[in-house]
Amino acid sequence: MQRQIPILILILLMSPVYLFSQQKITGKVTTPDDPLGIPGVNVFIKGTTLGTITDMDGIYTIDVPNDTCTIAFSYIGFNPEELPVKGRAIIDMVLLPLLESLDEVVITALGIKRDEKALGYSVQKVKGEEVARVKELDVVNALSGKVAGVNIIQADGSIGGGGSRIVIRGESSLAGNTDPLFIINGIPGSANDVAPDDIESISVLKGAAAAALYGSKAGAGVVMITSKSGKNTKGMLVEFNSNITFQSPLVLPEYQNKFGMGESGEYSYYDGNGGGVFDDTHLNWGPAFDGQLRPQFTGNKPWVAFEGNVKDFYQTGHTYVNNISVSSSSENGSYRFSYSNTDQKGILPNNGLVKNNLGLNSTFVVNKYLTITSNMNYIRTDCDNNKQVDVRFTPRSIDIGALKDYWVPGMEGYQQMNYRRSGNNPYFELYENPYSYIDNKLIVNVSANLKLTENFNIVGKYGTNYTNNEFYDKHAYSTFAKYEKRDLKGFYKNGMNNFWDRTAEFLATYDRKIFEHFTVKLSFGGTHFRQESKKIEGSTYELTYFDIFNLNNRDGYMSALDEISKKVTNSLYGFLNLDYQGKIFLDVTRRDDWASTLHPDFNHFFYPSVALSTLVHELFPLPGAVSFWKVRASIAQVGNSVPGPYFTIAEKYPFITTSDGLSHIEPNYFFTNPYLKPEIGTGYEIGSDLRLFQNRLGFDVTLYKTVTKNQILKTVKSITSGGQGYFTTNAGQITSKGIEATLNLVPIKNKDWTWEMQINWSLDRTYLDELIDSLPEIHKTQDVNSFLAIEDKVGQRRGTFYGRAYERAPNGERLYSLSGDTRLTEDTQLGNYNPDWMASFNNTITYKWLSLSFLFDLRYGGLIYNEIERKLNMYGLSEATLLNNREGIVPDGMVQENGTYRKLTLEDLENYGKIGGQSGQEYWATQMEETAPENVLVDDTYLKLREMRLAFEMPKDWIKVSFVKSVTVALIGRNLAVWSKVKHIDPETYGEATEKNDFDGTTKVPGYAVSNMPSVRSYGFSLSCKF
Amino acid sequence: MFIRLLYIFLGFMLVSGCDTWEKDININPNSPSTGGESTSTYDFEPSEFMLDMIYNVVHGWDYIHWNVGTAVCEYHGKTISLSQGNRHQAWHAFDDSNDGGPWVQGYKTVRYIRNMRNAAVANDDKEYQAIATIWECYDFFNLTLLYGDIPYSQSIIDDAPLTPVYDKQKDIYFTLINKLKTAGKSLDPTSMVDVNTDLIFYGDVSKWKRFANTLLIRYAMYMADAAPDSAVALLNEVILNPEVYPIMESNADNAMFHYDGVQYKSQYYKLSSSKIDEAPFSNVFIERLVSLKDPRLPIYAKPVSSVHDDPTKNILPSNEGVDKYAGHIYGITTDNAYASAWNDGSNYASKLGDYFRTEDDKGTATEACATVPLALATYSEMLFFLAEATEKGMITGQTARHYYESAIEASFEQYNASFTSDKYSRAFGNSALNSVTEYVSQPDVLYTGGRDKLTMIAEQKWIASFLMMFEPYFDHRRTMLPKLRASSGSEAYSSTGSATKWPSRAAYPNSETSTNKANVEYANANAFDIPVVDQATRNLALMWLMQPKGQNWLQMPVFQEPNYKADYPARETDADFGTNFNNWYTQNWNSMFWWKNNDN
Repeated sequence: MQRQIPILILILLMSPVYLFSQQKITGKVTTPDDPLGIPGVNVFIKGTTLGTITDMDGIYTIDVPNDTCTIAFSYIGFNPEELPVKGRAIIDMVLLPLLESLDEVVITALGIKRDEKALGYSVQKVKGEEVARVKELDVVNALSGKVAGVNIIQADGSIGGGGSRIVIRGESSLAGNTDPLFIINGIPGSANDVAPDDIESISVLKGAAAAALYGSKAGAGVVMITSKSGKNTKGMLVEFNSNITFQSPLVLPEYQNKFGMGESGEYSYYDGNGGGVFDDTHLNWGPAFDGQLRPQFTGNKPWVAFEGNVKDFYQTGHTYVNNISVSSSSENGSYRFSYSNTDQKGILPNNGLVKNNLGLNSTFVVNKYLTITSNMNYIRTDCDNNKQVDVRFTPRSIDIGALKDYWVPGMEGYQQMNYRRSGNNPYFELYENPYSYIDNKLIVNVSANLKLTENFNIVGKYGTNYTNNEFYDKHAYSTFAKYEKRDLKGFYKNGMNNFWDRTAEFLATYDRKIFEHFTVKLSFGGTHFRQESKKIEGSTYELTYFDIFNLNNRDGYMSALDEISKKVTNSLYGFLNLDYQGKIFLDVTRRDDWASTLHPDFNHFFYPSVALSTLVHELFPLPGAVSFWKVRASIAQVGNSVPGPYFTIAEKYPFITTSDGLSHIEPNYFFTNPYLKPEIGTGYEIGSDLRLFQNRLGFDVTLYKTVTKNQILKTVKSITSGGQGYFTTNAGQITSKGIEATLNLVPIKNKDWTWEMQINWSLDRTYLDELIDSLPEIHKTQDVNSFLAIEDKVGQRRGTFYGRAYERAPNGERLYSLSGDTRLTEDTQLGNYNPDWMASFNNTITYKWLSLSFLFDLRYGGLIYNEIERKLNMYGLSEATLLNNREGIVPDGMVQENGTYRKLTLEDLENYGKIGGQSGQEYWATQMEETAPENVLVDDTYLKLREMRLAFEMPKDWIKVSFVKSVTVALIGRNLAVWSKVKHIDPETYGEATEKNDFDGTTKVPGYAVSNMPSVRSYGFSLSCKF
Repeated sequence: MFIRLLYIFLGFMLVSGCDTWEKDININPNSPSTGGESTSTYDFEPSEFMLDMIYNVVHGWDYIHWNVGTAVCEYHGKTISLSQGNRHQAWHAFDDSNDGGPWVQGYKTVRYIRNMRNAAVANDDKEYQAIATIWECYDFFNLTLLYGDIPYSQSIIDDAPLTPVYDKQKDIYFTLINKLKTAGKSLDPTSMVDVNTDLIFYGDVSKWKRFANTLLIRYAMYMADAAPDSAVALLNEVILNPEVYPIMESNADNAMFHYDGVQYKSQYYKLSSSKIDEAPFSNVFIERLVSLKDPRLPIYAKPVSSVHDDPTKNILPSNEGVDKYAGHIYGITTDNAYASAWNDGSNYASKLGDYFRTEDDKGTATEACATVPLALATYSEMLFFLAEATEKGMITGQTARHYYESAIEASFEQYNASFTSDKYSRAFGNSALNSVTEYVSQPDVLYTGGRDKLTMIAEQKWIASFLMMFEPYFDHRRTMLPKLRASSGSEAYSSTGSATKWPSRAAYPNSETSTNKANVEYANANAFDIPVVDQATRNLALMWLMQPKGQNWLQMPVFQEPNYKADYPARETDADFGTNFNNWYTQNWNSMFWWKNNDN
């Protein structure tokens, strides 16, 4: 343990605090916006440590030693001011707000507010209003396009939010942990623990130096969310926000409408079970629509296309978010109480949820030494159903409306009706097989701030985050499951997950001027973090009574899951902030972590950081156009992917339920590794923040490099090493390098007009540098499907696709065999899913009371495997499948004969018995073979209109009612349009790839379009009132 | 005052330390612990590992001994080609990917052995400690017999390294012999272990003791060539000290794995009828049983379902009884279709008998055969070893003939093979024998009848060891007796497989090559008399046990395999068949049978 820091603090504590008084001065501090006076302004005598703060009315009283001294005023977000006393007894002061984005205050690690200029690393801040402007149920999505270097891929259009993929500065972990740490009001939590309207600000700590004080949890970056408080409220403020938006699918496939269900041009319905001609197929290679009567599942009906059968299935969803808050502050403290209600209806029938969120933030000023702050949040989510079905592959001849009565008449509850047997009626699935859940979440944290002297204060904090999640999964009788016939008699699963986090921490800070030009701030703290979780789950097949979903209602056996997990991390940290005349800033930090999940002999890790920031414009004379220029540099270490509980100690025998329903123990195939260490990332970062023309133009650029060693890899071990199994080991090193740039521009700013523009641009290259060589065969592989994998090989960029490519003639054309079959190479690199670069373009144009803002996201480069397109083509649904009217097709490509290359001809095919060429079904089956992933591996470049808002803030003089302070109404939209070459889907999507060498591990993979749900476009209006 | 409080607070933080949490927080509470290196916190009964420990080894062999072993040892003549998955080529590389190979199962068992031993140590249970050791020896003897040098010392320990080194077969062999001796000695024959989890001896410790000592005889004989003095010493130590080393005294002491028919079902039950059709008996085995009027014939085999009528055009059963028994020709190497076309296929050949597999009308196994036990070591096998040892002068006391005849009788008894049963008389009709005495008095069986005695012992042992794991293979590799033939067609596999040689060993599996590469490479280079560098050297390389044998030891006599169509029995549907059948039959049929060629 590091003992030096506390000792140093103690020595500093012993320096005497010297008080004397001669003369009293009093006054009031106001701002142009707030003539009533602002509380909490620092007032002190320049060159000393003597000072006070203003009271609730902005009034201060201070004793000064003589009238030649100068009184200084400082307040976060405002220009500091100084006034000489010159014998006056009353000195009032009007503080002017800092010019926007100059001397911006940001929340840094441990919740410490810092002037941005003092930071030697990049922290990007997103204001609460930007998050709340066009509300998203998943706060992660609201960050999209607002922070450079953060790669977000939103989840599909299913309800509830959550699940988006977020990667900050590259995929630096083989263990696959790319989710950043979310800190909610100072304690670990999850992204959506605070309602959007209650968010004060979000800080994204991207690099190692910014996040270093979070030690072993910081490797993937940190997102800090701070909720609003009642502080700085004058009197009582009531706010009401209402946000009503509607959702519809953003992109749906483009279909052909000339051919219907069937195969080889044939179809007729008998029983949907193969009794007719291809009436149990999922393909759309049936006869052309001719309007003639033909037996179908609806009876003998005209053979026509139901052009809207997919579109009509989706309904317009809605999301209503209503929030009311009351806040107030007085000299004894402040509070803010808020209530949010979210009512969501999905785009799929019978999908919906209701979320209620109660929050109370309060601060009590007990006396001049002690302030107590508490933060409480209760969130309840009731989701009746978020079952997903995918109807996009419904054959064109299916009248989907006719499926709404989903029971076979007379067999209600027992047998569903569908257009084919080997599949489920989508309405049946949505109404009879719901997946529902209830979440209860309580987050409480209390902190006490003890200000012992002007220079020394100590904060103690205790926080707890308790989540209870219940879920129910029901399958009615006759549910068809591909591999599980038992579903035919129903299925029921009921489970509960409890998570309980507790955080206790303290932080002591000593802050004073030393020598003449230096201010030093020395802090020392510690955290005790404990996490416990419990999962219980029971599931059973074969229900005795069809309509009772209860685990006792079973004919078959029940399998149970019962799991407890506990871990503790203890930490100590200390840091030093050194400030030379407000011009050069040096931060040094160190954090020590002890993790209970590691082997007792190897459970201690420490994470240092050094960051330097220099204000060039303060040090050197620069041209007048330069209003601000900061250069910064930092180096730091952080950890990632600390192994979870039970990875490092004694192997275990899990319980296995056998087919007779009995439970017994079996050896775990997973072997513990006591020497396992966290992944350790060393981050180097330099940056420059240049602002010109009174901040009308700002340019911030960061270059970073992160080298992450001890990569955690799970791999097969030799069975001779104590039996069959897998083991986890520290196996390699990954390097991420990148550039992040932000350009802020205010092209127009005058009395009526303002136009603010922000462009974010980022580039990241992440490579696997090395893997341990004692096990030459090991590498990490994620299977997209049996024929396409994402493999990590040494020296290669992460996210590289491997699979068989098409053989090509020297002129680049595809090569076929003489019989017209595809020719494939051996496994080879097929490209990468990561983008070449990403950019966003954010604009706000204000004219008097009207403001228009819009945000574009651009992702350039990278590939996506479009499984949706592949299926649409292979099943004969897409427009492409009308090629040649589905007959006589000769694939366009070359053949090789006697060493020469020439075009494949009809004659070649006929030589092999394909008289008249290939049929459409044959052709597309060949072209869309899963073995040849190249067929749908396409460029994933896209431009997206992410956000748009047109707001009208009612001018003050329009508002006749005196208690109304402001009213804003706005038209809002999210995810409004997308431009891309990717067909049939929103190119912003991810799939789950299977981890090889793992039992059930999956990872979100951006280059894989497979989601069941289209993404949604969201549009509506919002109302915001302040009273 | 505040400063003082702070002192106290900081002092408290320092004293309380930073890695303090409950001692057991990182011990998984969700499932029982095996204790690993620490035995003090052991929360298991050793019996909880017993079934898994035993079954894993059994399961490693139970399919392969049927699918591979029976064909290699010429019990079966396959209707799918022997080149596919069997002797001449591919069986060197056992497929361990489907959880079935001896390598996978043998090493999987190590965990259970280790855990059972740890649990036994923690519970101070001497019996289970010894049983764990006996099983460890049985498992690793099997592995080293099949593969040669293998990971052992670094595999069996609690904290096995990720890439265990390969031990020399010689070292493994003597270590296991000593362990087996000690373990057997330490068992108290009057005690019992848990009845329900011991599917071999149902808890009878005295039988475990006899099993261990009987294995000593087997493994002494297996090393009789590589370490003759040690073998003689060991045999005598066991034979001359029956109080210390009680051995099997009757078939009641046989080591049989008794499938419970519920969780563990016999391989013979699990086989589909098409798998049964693929492996009818070989003509070699059936003809030998018929020629000896062996009462085990109707037990091992089912009568054929169809019989041809013209001996000049087809193969006809040669037994006299009303139930006809015939084998499918052994050794067809070329093509599945060719293999199954012989003599119109499997309907004209005998298949696995009712003792092992009872079937309904559709050829599906009935529940009754789910519990057919698998023999691991038998009384009769032991007696054959003792006959051989006596004949070779390694031990004295009883006559070799006594052991030999007792062994035959024990085998009959084991299978309840009777000369008075209805099945027997239906098989042999007028030529049927009446007693064991008559059986052992036949010229080909009579110990003093002039045939080579070691051949007779080996031949009878071959018959008695049918479906006894891989012992017939290990035994034949050692004695090369009786003189089983290789087909001429197998010569084509000389570059890739064992061809006309008896296979020397199985190759290390691919999974091992990929996860323990350096050690496998070292073993291939150093474990055998010549380095294994390619497929050709793979079969020439001899392990330590076979050291003095020389490179030609494994060469088998060759018979002329019939050429497809012309040399085959006639077929009504295809005139190309059988045009040269008579010719081939007259010249070559009997050349497959050593007893008809004065080959001792």
